[in-house]
Amino acid sequence: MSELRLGEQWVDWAEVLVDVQIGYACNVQCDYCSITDEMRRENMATGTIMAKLAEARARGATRVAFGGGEPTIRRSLLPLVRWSRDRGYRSIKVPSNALMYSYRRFAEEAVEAGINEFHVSFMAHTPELYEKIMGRSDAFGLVTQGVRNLAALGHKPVGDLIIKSDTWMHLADIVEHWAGLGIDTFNLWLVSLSDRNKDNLASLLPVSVMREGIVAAFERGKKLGVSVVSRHIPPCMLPGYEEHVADLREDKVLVVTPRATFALWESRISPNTYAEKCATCRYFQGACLGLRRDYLERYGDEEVRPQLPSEITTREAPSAA
Amino acid sequence: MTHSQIETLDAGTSTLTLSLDTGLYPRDVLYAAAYVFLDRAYVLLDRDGSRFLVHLRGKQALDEPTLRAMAGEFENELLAQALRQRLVRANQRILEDITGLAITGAAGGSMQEETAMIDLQDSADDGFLDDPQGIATPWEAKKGALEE
Repeated sequence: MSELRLGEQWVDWAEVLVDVQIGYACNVQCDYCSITDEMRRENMATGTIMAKLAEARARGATRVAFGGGEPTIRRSLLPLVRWSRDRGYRSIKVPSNALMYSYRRFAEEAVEAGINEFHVSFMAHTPELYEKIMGRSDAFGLVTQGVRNLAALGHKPVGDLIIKSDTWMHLADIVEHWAGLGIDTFNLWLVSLSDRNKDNLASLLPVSVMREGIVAAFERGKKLGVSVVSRHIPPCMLPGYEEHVADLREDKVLVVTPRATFALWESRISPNTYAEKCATCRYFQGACLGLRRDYLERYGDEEVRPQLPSEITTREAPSAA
Repeated sequence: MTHSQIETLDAGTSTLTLSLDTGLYPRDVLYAAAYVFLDRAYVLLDRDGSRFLVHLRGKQALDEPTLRAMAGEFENELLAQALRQRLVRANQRILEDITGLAITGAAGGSMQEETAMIDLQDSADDGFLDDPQGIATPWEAKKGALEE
């Protein structure tokens, strides 16, 4: 058994998701995107991607993701997917804005090539909000068609939702809308104040302000029988909903970018920073990864509520963490 | 005090304690240097505020000159490991690329034969071949067209 060190953990290569950021080019410019113009010109050469995937496969990896940017606009994506499938990668994930899947033929080719984990960033539940965020008047219609095409081919994408100043109050409705098209798993991600978006302070509100909308999404999900989990907010900021807080380490993601290779939760846009008062919390350096650094810098630790052992009833900290 | 120094030395018990400025040596360098001494001494690493403490106890009886020499060797090893780490970091990308290509070749078959559809040299091969609505056009290209 071959293992990889991811942060403080040793992980069997067979469980590692090799998340290759094949390039940052994109077909839209969302208003919260953190990718700078300079980064958008960074693309990994196909030969380099293949070499990295061949090495990981030789060590035992069977899970790969092709991220970006928008990976579906890269002409070599589907040949890379086929190549990965033929090499023995069994799980092939592509996160996307889903615009390209609006072409039925492309959706068919994507499925035929071997993509079997589709993730779609759903910006909104109305054409107007979609256009405001993504900058394309036809985006909502194209994404809807893309999701329908994938569903017709037997694939239900996972929905990724961004929590930001103009979406938090709509999260429940966004979940309900896309659940209506068959989506049954939703991840909530907090908008990041980094790189291109670092000065867009208005895009990120305190979790305490947005909590009502986040919790409403959890509740709507329960009512509809779909999964809604938060992946960027520590459990102490979502009391009573700790079971909806995902631990990024469980995904076992090794991120490979044009610039560096690292565990997902060590990324500067992942929650991995503790406030001083976290030291007294039962979750400290255990089940909780802390806060995102940019959030802590923006809003400090006022919302952080260290939890004493006697307060915890819903989750157990993993002993190996 | 910013350099290393001998805190204690006892030939009777063949023990030696060195203290090191934590700002001067990364922890990985300290571990690597300590590893080199495992066959000659029992090693315990500790910390006291801003200084690392290295406790060495000889596996065989050691007199004072030998213990002092061991302290000097440990300091030299720290320097060697620090340089080694820098070189590895500087050459990591090259090593990864060479290793990756070697493994690709060793895994069987020619990459070129298997991937005739893939242009190995492309780095930004963007644009979908059958894209009547121009969805695959990168945003930068659209922006550029609008500005012209």
